[in-house]
Amino acid sequence: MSLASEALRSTKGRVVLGVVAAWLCFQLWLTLAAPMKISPELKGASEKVNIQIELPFVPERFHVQSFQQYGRVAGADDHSIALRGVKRTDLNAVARPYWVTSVGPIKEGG
Amino acid sequence: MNIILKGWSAYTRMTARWPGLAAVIPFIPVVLLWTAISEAGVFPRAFFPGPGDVVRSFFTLTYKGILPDYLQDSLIRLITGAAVGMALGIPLGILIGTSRWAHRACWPVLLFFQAIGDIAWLPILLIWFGFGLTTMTFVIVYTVLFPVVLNTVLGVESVPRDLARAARSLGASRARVLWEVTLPGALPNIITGLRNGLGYGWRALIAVEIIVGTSGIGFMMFDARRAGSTVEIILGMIILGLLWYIVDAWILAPIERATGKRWGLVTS
Repeated sequence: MSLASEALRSTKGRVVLGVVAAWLCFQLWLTLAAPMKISPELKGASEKVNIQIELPFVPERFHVQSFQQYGRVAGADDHSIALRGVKRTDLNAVARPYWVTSVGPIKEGG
Repeated sequence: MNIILKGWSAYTRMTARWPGLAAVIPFIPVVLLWTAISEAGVFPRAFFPGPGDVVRSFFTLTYKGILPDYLQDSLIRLITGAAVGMALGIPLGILIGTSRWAHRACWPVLLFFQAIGDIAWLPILLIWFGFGLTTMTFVIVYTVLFPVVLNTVLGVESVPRDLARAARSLGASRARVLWEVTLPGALPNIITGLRNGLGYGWRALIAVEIIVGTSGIGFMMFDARRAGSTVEIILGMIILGLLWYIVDAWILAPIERATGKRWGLVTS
């Protein structure tokens, strides 16, 4: 009997495979949900956009650092982080984490 | 005395029916003692949080995305390091084990570098590669490599030479002897080396993340000391233990059972 079929027969193997399957499903859901979090107001022709990322909690250093790879962090308030100069192609990646509620245009002077 | 015997008998029956319980039950007194000490207020709560605080911290850090992200980083580093360590260690071990010339050339060098601990490399690695993934991967590969190589050599040398001679006399080529006699015979030792190597690698990873990391469970624990958050440090320790238990008991041990033990090469 092969290792794979043996793994399928054991409870532990099934639990491990179940966890892996659940994780893959979760990743798929994150990928599908990301475009829905991006505001239609961000549509346009420009290569880069200034965005405001909404979170359900007060952002911490981890969250600010996570977004630094996509643009310049212009500020953070109670539930959002403002990010300037983000490439349109990176918008889905910005919206992908499950802890991002929505991504919209930056609120100037807000 | 009768009650103890009855209790023991119930425990034996229960763990025979649900073997998973055997791993959980020994932790119950530990958690109860921990709860009692923290609830009694023997130490200030900020220094010695209770299990409830740790569970709350787990949910908060997961909700904020911090814990899954750091855990993923640590696991990717370990898997990368282990894969590279295996890819280098197993062929090298087979070469040293099968060739007398290679043994003479490599063995002293191997023992020399084995004595230099992984962390001892950090100062020079930081100068060469800086605070980054390369440094961390190097340390993990280095840590995984030695147990894998040494155990592979042991495994190859423990395969009875008569088996190889018999296969050769029946017309098997050197490659076929290696693939069908030497490798299966050495596999239990290779798996043992891998188990040890991954265990050491996991510990080395945490140490490296503490020193050079900007993410990962080790980094989370060390960063928590800045805020004086003992609860996050304890949570990190629990995750390390739990994760290693799962990897070892659920993945590595079954592989060992499915290979070496099934072939009668490991009897216990």
